[in-house]
Amino acid sequence: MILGAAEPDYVEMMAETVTAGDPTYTGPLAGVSLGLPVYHVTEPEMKALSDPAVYRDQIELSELAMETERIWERVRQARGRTETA
Amino acid sequence: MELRGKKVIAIGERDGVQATAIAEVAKSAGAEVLLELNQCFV
Repeated sequence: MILGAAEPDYVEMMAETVTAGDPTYTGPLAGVSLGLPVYHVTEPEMKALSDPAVYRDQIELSELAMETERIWERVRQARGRTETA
Repeated sequence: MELRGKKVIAIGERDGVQATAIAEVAKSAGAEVLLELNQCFV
């Protein structure tokens, strides 16, 4: 699962939903732990794996407007909870 | 982490990176994109 949301709170909610289950307990994934590997498209791992020209054309401009460090922190927390489960 | 040969779901956002862009990046890394969709948190 690769996310592109710009707000750290949204990223955390989506990452949590596809790993541990819907944190708001309002949707069909409430209490359902899918445990999917989840990344944000701006994370260094994604950048390293992709074609640099494609990344530059498709992502870099949007990335400038994002609080990437906070986004990465949130998505890594969600991923970490799955990896240790 | 390795994306080559993996199946990917791309969830974009209207005000962030859109799913089409995520899919292009994933494909350039050798992944197969199963689903692209955009969300809007307004």
